[in-house]
Amino acid sequence: MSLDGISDVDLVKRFRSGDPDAFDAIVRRFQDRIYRLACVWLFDRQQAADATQEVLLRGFKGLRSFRFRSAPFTWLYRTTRNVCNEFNRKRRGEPLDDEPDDPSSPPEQQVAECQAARKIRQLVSGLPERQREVVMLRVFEDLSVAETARTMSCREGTVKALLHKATKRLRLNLEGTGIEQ
Amino acid sequence: MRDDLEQLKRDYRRIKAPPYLATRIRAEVADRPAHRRRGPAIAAVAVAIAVIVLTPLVQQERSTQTTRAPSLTMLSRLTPNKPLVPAPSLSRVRSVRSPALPPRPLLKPTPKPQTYFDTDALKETDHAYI
Repeated sequence: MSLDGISDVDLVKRFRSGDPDAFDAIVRRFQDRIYRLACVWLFDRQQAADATQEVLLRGFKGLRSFRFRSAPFTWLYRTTRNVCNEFNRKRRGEPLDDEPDDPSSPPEQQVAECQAARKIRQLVSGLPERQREVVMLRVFEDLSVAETARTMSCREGTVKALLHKATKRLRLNLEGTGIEQ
Repeated sequence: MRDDLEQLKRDYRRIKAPPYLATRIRAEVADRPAHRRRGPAIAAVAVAIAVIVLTPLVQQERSTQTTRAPSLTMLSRLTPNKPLVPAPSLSRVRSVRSPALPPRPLLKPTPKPQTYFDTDALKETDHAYI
């Protein structure tokens, strides 16, 4: 049975039981989502790649004792946020670097990715932290309200209220100062 | 606004992790053991079993080696062993003569000089005989 077709929980269970291919499948499944979040929270692609690697290596250690009180992505999301905060603290004062640096992907794609990450960062940077999280999870990561609430350790009503406020602010941001497409 | 957000979402979804990342992670992970080594766990279990099994044996051996102090209840139940030689009767004990006491030493007159007051010669005064 292919590991790509099974649920996140079953995949982590397979990893815990010692399946040698399970961790590869975890990396394949989550690396893009973690990298995208890191691109928005950090300021260059190299740092985002390093942060993604760090998150997944912590996952290799931490998911062994995972107790399934939350979804595996919730655990990875929180780890990503912590790792990105650590990276931002270390990097304070250093110049930003959004230049394409990956020779394996075409430069046009890298530029487009950088621009998208920059736009989203610009869009959500004006929001308070909780509203920013709601936007990232509910709007960009397409999590349900319930999943977003579990990930943020709050009630669904709180998620809806935060999303409502955030949408109002985003509208102002998009219409007022404007983000050029 | 909705269109702008939809466009941003599409752009966001296009962001992909660099292909070298998975290889890098795989290389890092290859150096680490896939799962916890079971050696220390097995050793810990063996030690625990040994402690559980051996502790009563050791205590039993100790209890045989060391004599316990008898309880007061046990002591109260003990009957004293009578001596084999019969004890002499009281009448016989009374008839046994004790050795005579040494003679009492006689007191000799001390050579200390003594002063005698001639009470007849004393004159009575208001106060006392001086």
